[in-house]
Amino acid sequence: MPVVDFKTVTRKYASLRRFAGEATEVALEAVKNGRIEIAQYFAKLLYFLPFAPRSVEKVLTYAVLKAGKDPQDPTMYEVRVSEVPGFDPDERDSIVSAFKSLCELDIAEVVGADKIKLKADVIRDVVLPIAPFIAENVGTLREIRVDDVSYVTKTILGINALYVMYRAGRLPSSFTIMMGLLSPTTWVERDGTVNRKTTISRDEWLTAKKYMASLKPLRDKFEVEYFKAVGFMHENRIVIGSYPAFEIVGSIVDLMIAPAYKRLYDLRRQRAVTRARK
Amino acid sequence: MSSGVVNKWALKHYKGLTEEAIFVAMDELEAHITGTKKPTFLSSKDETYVLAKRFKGVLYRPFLKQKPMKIIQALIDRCGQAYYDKDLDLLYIPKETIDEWVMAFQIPPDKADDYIRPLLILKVLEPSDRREYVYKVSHDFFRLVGEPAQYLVDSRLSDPAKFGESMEIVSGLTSVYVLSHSVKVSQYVEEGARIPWFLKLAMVYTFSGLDPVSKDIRDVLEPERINAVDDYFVIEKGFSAEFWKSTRVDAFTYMTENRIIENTTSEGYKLNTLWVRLHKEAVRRYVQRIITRYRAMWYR
Repeated sequence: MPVVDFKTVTRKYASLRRFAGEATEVALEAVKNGRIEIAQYFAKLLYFLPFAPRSVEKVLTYAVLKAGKDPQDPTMYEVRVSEVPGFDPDERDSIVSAFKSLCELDIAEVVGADKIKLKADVIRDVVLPIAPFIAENVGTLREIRVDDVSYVTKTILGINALYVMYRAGRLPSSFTIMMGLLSPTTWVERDGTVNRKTTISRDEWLTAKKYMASLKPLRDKFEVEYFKAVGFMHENRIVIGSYPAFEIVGSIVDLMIAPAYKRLYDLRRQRAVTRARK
Repeated sequence: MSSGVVNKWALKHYKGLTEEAIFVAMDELEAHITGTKKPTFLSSKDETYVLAKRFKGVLYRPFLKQKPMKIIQALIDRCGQAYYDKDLDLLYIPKETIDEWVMAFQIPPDKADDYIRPLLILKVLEPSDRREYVYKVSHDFFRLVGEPAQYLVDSRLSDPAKFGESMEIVSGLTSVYVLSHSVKVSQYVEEGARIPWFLKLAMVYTFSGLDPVSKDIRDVLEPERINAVDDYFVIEKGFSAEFWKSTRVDAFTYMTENRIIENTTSEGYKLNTLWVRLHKEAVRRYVQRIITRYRAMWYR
């Protein structure tokens, strides 16, 4: 008899939102522990963020790559407006606005006119775990093509997306719905054992969808956001088969969904204990 | 276990372990699809079908000859039709159909029996119990593939996506069925098709990550582990290096095509979860079997 499962997650908006938030944090922690493969599944997610301009992605990718090339050298943490590739000369404004929004997100700080520097904790959380990986896979800085959708770029884009969401404390609805749709892969028993599987049956998928469609904050835009979420999952190959059951990539279940459930379970237990003490 | 070390025990027992893995897969399919056995490590029929997809296309490789393969395709179609129409009479094969096979697949008329005999040994066909028919599709085979095969037959039922995935499932189910029967046969008879090397090697790579203490199998296949397995077979067991090179390419093609390798990570290749679970269960059962055998020897 499961005590926390996808029904508990998707029936209330508060728990769904918390679950998605925990999943983001857990994924970032996995990256910090060296399992950076999880990040590639979230590439291009930044485009869905309503609060960040599109140029943020390009600028942040460039900054992370630059810093990752040689993390020992603090001058590499700085980025000038004039050096960011992938922008036309008349698009200077969009770089400046990207700088501004990175500062607002507390990812970078202004260090001079037209110049920003990545913050120390970004270096610690994002750059250092992937620095060896960048040194191995990316040649000189000139060769970097931000639009290139290779594994390296995808990984870095994914980490950026997760980090921006974590820092801003806001999640796009499509991401929240996606997490809800993926939630049937795990359930927690009463004694705290976490069970996992990599398939989602049609019934479970439809039940999760039905519950989420009736949540108040999602109700009026659900169709669009659901469409976006499913498209995103197929594009990033999170779902690798859809008949007779949906098949989910194992990394996502192991590194993201299951630890997030564990946290959710611990939280509920803790609450129950404090409530009993009062 | 530190990374990059292979489990020598698993390598030494590779033959028994790979055969056990095929039996485990077959038993699990039977448990969930036909309900004749007790399920062990999978929780639902959906998962079983997904597992079957991992064995897709094993038979299309040079394992069976091409013409029996064509006959199997025709039989699968027949199973699908029978399941959809709920008409078990369709499973009986009259003399005319065999003549048609001979015509359509360009089989020399006097050799027809040679092409059908493997199917009898592999228990896809069995002699008919009704006088007016020659053969009958084995009931076990029909129960296994009938349900997904119906989507291959009737175009009204299938949308293209479903068709593609049903195709993969049916192919996987047939592969496991034929493999498990061929292994069973080869245990008693000297000759007979055995597990092809590309599949065996894919399994050996997985088994080599067995942790002796926790009995878990590491789901990340590191390059060091691949090299260590290759060294064991080429240097210690004396396999031909050229044969090994071609088999390895074949094995990796198979693993990528069938999504056994899900993606590349910074450490190595990430293996599919269900595939790893199948191998874990195979190890458990193999160890159990050995213990029983030793006990029997001891108390004799």
